[in-house]
Amino acid sequence: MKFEYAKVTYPPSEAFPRGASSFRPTINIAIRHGNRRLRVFALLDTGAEFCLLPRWMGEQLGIAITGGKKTTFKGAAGGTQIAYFHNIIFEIGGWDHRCRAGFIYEAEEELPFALLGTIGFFDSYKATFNVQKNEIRLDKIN
Amino acid sequence: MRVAKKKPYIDMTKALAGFEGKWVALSFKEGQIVVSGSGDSIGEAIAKASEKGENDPIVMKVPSQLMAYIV
Repeated sequence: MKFEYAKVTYPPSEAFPRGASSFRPTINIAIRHGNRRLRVFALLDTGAEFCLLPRWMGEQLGIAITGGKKTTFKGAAGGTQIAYFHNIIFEIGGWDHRCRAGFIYEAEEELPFALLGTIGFFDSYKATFNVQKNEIRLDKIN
Repeated sequence: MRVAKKKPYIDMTKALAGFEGKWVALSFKEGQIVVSGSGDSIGEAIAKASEKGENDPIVMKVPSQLMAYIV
């Protein structure tokens, strides 16, 4: 399966007076739980330990988020956050992928995308990132 | 050295400009992302997209301020 990067441009800041732009490895997927389905963007985050989704996605899927199994984790800023894990299905490039993903319950501002991490995603897919060619390739590992 | 020609990319910033803090329902048109519906709630964005014939949009809450994510 091949995907394109998304270009994101940032306004000027002290560190980047002319602004900056980057190519973000986000892909469009669908998430299913029960009979509900939601199409969203997902960031291929090889630095994330597991798959995490913002609270709003869980609410749209009708999931009682705090009824899941709880774990704590730290983000890049060092703060501790809580996630509740539930079994969901990701539809990626037409394939169903079952995953135990955590829903982040409290955040200052909710993420606009899902995070696909090592446990539950990259342990099942070989990913090849080629920014120069604007190409992301995912191959399922049998 | 031959440099590979870069394929067109999805320009997320261009598509989402003016929708900061809003819910959006997105569609792909000619390889680019376009906003099919927007609103103060996810339901409103989906309903507006549906009025335009988009019944399976990608949904997103656009951040109130564009900035880099280190997650």
